[in-house]
Amino acid sequence: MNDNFLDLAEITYLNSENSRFYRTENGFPAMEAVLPKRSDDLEANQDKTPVKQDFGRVFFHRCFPFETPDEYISVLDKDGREYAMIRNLNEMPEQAQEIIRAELDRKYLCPIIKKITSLKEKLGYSYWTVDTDRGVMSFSMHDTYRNIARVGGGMLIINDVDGNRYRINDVALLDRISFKKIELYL
Amino acid sequence: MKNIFVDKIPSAVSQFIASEGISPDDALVSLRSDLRVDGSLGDCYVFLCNESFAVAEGILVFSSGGKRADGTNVRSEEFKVSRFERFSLSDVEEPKAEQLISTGRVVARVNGEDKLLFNFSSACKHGAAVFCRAVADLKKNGELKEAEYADEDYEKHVCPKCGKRYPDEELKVCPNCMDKVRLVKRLSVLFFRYWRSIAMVLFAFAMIAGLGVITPYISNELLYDDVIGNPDSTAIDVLKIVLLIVGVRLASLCVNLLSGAISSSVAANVTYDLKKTIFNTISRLSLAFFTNRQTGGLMTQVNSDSLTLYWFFCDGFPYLILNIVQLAVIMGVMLSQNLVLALYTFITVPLFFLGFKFLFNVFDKLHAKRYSKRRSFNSLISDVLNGMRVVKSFSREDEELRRFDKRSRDSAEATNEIQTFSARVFPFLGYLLRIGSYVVWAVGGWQVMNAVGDMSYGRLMSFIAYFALIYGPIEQLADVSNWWSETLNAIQRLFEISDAQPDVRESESPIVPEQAKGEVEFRNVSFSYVENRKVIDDVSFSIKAGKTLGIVGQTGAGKSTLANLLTRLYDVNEGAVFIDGVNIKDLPFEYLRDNIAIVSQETYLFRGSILENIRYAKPDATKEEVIAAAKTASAHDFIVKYPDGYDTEIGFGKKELSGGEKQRVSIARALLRNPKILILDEATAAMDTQTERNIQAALDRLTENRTTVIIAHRLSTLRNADNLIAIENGKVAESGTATELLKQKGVYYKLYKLQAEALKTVGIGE
Repeated sequence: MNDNFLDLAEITYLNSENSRFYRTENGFPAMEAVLPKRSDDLEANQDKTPVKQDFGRVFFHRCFPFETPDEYISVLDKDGREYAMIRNLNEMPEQAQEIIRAELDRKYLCPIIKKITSLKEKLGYSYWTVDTDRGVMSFSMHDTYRNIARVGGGMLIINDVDGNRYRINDVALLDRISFKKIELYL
Repeated sequence: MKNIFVDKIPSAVSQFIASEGISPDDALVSLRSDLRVDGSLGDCYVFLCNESFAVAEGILVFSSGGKRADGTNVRSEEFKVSRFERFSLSDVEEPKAEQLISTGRVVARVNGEDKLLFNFSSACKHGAAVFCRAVADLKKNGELKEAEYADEDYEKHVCPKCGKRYPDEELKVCPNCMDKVRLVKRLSVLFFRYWRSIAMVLFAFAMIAGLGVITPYISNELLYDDVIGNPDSTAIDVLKIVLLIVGVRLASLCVNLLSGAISSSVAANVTYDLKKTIFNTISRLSLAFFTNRQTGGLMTQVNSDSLTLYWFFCDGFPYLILNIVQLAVIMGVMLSQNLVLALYTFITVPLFFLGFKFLFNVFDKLHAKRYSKRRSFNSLISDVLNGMRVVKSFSREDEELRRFDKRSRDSAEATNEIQTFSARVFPFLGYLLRIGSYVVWAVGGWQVMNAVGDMSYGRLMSFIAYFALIYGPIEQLADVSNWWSETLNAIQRLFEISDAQPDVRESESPIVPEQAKGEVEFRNVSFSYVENRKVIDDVSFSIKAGKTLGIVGQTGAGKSTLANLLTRLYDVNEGAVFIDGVNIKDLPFEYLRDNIAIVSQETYLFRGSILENIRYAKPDATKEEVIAAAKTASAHDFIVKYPDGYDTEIGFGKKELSGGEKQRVSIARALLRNPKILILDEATAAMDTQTERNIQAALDRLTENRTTVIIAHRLSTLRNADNLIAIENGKVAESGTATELLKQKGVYYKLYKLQAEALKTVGIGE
């Protein structure tokens, strides 16, 4: 029953044999892979035999960005339609890993807060100054309580008024003073 | 056209750009981004000129260079460049802002290959969107239309005082510079509408304070020293004093009652005014305001904030004045009676204030903690109750119970923490405050025994009686900062809502056409709910008066958005929508609402009878009209089956209409308005085919002289449409009559085949 269900979904998982990743002239990730031809035809008798194709520039999206950032990565076209999936990035060839990781790092770029130097609340807005892995940053938040999400164990995702994200990897590992400051909003 | 500075350009950057041969004055659009090409933080400036654009990246370094002669600091800036690139507009195609998770990048096709132009963080996403739009416009028209960029100047989006961007552009309120004085002034405007009552309240306060001061004097100094201590006094004298005491107490009781009554009526009136203002503003705001906020949260906020203000007017403010006046008077009296003793009384007051301030901080945190625990507890309850069907169908009751238990315990613990803490700390603090009084007992007693100055037994007793009057107000004053900040918060939030500007605004000098014909035209319309993500992309179509247009397309293709744009629930970003040749932005709201009726997939019926709900569109409709409308919408038959007929209260008892019934009622509602333009947005989707046919038959008659837009995914719904357009990814993929579209073998053909195939599988061919 379960196997059936997995087959039904018809997802192609990429590996070193059926795919090759490369960079375009301007450094964007691109893919060559053996996949069934895409067809918008709704005929039942679609040809589903995989063919080797060069897709050009491709996009990536993590399915579980918090839980398993390296597993289940969706490979998409520019309109967000999925070509295939990567089950585990670590099982891909070195060169592919490097290309994909660089792109994922850029896409999921997000300062990681190491320390909260100041947190003040004023008339419904909170003003933060934090030390991050990318230097000291200041930002403000509105409706602070609703814009801090706890994902997984102790990871916090913080959204500021502009829609920028900040991350705290494990709130329990923050120093005492920082923790006291943020504790109210948890 | 003048330069558009989406952001302010520092002089060091202007100098650098000039040295590269671009005069900053030539830039049509200039903007700043905060991410460099390698993803690190930095300063990136983009200058768009007539035929090219330049990107300069680096770090802006500020250094202070001493003081000028007039005392101001000399601040020198230096722009350390790490990347400079120029692009010719003719090489660049399709600039696009790609939105990543928290940042974004502007990518364009340069010589046929995708190329990264610059990165930006979400704080600068607006600038990036303007840049992409401007490049596309320049390439298409060779110039930028000033009017379309008029709003982009950075000066309109930053607080004039501190130069920071407004966190919410709709509101144009800078929380950083939020002027508390201004807030209080605005509040007092509300307050001073009732200045007569306020004057009475204050008069009453003066009386209370006065009587409060006299009472100890009469009952102690007068009674003990002048009557009891006087050997000539008779029982009658004592009685007189006692009567006097009783009289004073009675008078003070009356004044108290009076002032209480007055101040509560003032407060009730003010909060009523406030709530009315807020509700007024809220219903005036554009739909976007509501989709950005949770309606439930909005309502609780309005209610709890008005309550805070009520409390402020009714309890806080009057008692504050009373306390200050009373404190001042009593202190005056005490100081004039015995300077030394008075000073002893207040000996620990500064200490008390310090201690209180410290404790306040602790309490503030404890309260915030309890608030958040309670909030999460409440949200869990509403979550589970709303989703009870799902909880039960997956039999997860036990799991939910465990979650409930945990949060409930957390919330109880937080409350317990506060109570234990205050039970431990407050008696101690009160003791600290009253240390002065013990000193007074000792020193005063010694003074009476040795008759220092004119100290007497009665005077000491009245002195001690004053303590009781004085420590209460001191304790309350210490608490003032606490509730004052809470009140300010509430006022600010309320005014934030009442100040919000709707982004769909009625034209100031609207054009009122005499008679609506019902011609509709969409001309190059583009629209996005969120910046950088177009939902509608350059859509054009027109409907002749009285004709029917069908819109088909996949879920999420942007069909309903077209309806929202036609009714001006949202305004188009680019292009324009015309009704009878007039831009709908120039039409008065009333005219629009009178001539367009929409039946949408989300039906909402208000609490009330079915009659009231149908009449909602036209309150003065006769019963006959209501019945006719209901009959046309196939609603009449099921309505008369209800025991209470049209007077059936929706939501009363167990009467909840089914999805299809609700839709029929809302169709009747729209029909009653008898609009020139009717929009049916999946209006019949929740009905069975038979009922849909019935309504269709009626609608056919109705749509004869009426412009109708039918949005549907079920093609049978569209069989009478004069024209069809198929929407795909926000664009018009194809348009024409049903036969034409079938011949084109495009989107429509595919949909048609799909639905026809569904029939084939059960053996019904065509």
